[in-house]
Amino acid sequence: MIAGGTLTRVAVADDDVLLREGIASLLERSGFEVVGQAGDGSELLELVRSRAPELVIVDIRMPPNHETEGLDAARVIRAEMPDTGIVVLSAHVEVDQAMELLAGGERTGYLLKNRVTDVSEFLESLERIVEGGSVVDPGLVLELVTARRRDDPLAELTPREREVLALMAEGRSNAGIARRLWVAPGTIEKHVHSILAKLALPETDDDHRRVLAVIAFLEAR
Amino acid sequence: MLASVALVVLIGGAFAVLLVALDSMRDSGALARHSRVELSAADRLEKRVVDLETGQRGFVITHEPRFLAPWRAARSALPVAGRRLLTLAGDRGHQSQAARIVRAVGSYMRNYSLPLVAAARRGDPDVASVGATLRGKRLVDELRARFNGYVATQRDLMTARQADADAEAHRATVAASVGLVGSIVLIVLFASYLARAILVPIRRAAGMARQIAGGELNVRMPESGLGEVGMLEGAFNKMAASLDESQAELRRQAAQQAALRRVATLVARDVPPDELLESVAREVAVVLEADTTGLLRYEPDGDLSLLAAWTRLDVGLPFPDRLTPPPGSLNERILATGRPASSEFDENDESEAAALYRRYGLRSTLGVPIFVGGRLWGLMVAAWAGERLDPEVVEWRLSEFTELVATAIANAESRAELAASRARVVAASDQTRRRIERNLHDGTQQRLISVGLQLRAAEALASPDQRKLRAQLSDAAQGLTGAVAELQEISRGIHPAILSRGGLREALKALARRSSVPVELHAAVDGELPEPVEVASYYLVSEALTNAAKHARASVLQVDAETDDGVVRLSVTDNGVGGADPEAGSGLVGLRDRVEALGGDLRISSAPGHGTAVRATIPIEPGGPR
Repeated sequence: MIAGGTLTRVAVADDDVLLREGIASLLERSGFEVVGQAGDGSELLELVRSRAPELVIVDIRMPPNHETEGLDAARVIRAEMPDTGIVVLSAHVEVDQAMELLAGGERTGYLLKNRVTDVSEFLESLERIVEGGSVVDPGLVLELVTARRRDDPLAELTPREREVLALMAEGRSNAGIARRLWVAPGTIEKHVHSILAKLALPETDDDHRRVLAVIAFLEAR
Repeated sequence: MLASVALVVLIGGAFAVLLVALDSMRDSGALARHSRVELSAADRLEKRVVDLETGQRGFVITHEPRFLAPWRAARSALPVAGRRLLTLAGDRGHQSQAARIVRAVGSYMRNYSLPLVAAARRGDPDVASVGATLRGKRLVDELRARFNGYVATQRDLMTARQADADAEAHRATVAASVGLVGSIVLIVLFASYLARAILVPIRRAAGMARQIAGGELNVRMPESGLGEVGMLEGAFNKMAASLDESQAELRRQAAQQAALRRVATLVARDVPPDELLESVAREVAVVLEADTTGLLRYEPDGDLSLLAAWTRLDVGLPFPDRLTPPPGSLNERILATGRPASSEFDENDESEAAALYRRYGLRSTLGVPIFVGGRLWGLMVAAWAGERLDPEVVEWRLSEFTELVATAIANAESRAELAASRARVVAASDQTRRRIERNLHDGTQQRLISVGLQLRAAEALASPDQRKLRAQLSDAAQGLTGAVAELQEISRGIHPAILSRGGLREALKALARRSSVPVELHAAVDGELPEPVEVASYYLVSEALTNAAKHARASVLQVDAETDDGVVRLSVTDNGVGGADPEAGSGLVGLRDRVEALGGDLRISSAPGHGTAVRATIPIEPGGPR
């Protein structure tokens, strides 16, 4: 991927060499420059500090404890180099981890690991992050949106509005949603306006903020 | 005793006097009869003489032989009558007088009567002369005078004898009267004495017996009676005392049995050991009238630690929480013999143990070993400031309690072992599940994704012309994505990885989100919980939600989780149809094991029409409150 005439510099961290190599080769093939690979959190930090990649793709569970080392590393990177985009890959959906990651700021993504095999979607997600957006795994959003509640505020929404809400939660911009749904951006804007009004959420131009608000709303409803 | 002897002597004396008097009366009577016989013999002899005289005179005058018939009869009867008189008078003082009469009659016969009759036969005329007649008359008068003298003498004698007999009879009457009156007086006296010495105490004993029968066992009577009565009173008092003692013993036994029953009930109810031991310490102190009791356990280093104690001493307990048994303590002997031991501490006892007990004013102590599963587990000690019951009795009573204690401890230990073993089983299974989950996520899933990536790479490598190949590769990659999604679903069921990071609250939220029936979650779980507690809580809620979604036909489920006072309380309730059988085929049975392995408990209520409620309490720390 070429941004401003140069390849996007990416670091990949995963303790599974095969998978790591697979991702790296996918990225190389897709126009990224893989500046380095790491097998655990501290290696990643070293790599990020020395090579200053624009994007880091990191597995959440890594040695030594196989707990949330990827998330911990992301926090450090966020603090030290706030402009670095971070995609955290998780073996399973954990809403609070996604929330924590997103709360750290924009240019973040939380994706299930198996998303990498859906190459075009994956690359698009990376692109959105590099461009300053946020990405939330559709599976996680689906879980949040389909969770059943008594006196569900989402019951107010039309099916189309729900679709739009889910895409908002995934971190897509209005334009992105419009592209996705094959409708005019104006229509999406109207939907978004209606949704926010119905759910009593504040209007914002900042996509990242919107993601946070929507996710928080969905999680707490 | 003395009185009865006196009475016998007195009455015997009176009767002796009476007997003597009667005897002499009988003698007097016999003599009087004899005198009368003697008189009649004299009278008959005189009559013969008169017959002689009358017969001879008639013959002399008339010469009629027929007049001689009575003369002849009298003449032949004369010797007999004479001999009889002599015989009767023979043993009396007037024999000579009788002999003279007989001789005079004989002489009258020979010298006068025979010659006269002979002369008359011959017809001699002199026989009828006045002279001869006068001589005959004079001779007969002489004889009569002799007879009269004899009779007079006899009569005087009879009169004197009669007077003697009368006097004797009078004496006998007097003696009998005196004896009778004396006897009556003595009998009255004796009766009153008997009444006083026997009747009153016996009546008192009867009254006391009635009181005893009525349950008043503390009555006693004065042991002042003489002889057998005193013995009776003594025996009675002894009987009452022994009854009193038996009843006290019975009461003690009953109290002990009641105490044992209470303790046994606690054992059966599986109350926590602390509570049980406290109760035993108290019950034993009451039953044994001890001033202080303690239950102590041997620690591996030989020290004793105090588990429970009771005291009525103001100064507190003589037992510290943990002690190294001082020299001279019961412990040494119990360790050496495995048998109960007791001690009395007198002023001269210099041992450390004695000093300790004396400081608390205790004078004696007794300890019984407690064996659990054949191993010396600890001791039960009782100590007294005052009098102590018989050590053997105390040992016996104490050992009944220690047997219960041993049973309870053995139960508690087996239960603890069982719980620990269950916990180990659960923990092992959790570790296995966790490892499988990790292997699935970090191994199998990674592998599948890698393969997916390789397929994508192959797809990318294939030339745009090879559409079919590309499509197949893409399908394969898609298929793998589906497999990975399934694998995630499976691994989530195997172990909730979310627990490792987000804690119970996040895990419950995830459960609530995934439930097909709306869930109202209230999770006030503070702080980090031990993993087994979190895992158990998670599974419990997960299983309860799944069951409710499947069977309850509920419109809403309520999940409450809170930490409170060292426990986690969980409840999952629904507004569905209820009527679920908690034991039939539901995964909750396995959860009960899991919860109980942590020392918690699980209750399920599911009345038809009232929904189902699953409630569990799990101690946060093992062995914590339930």
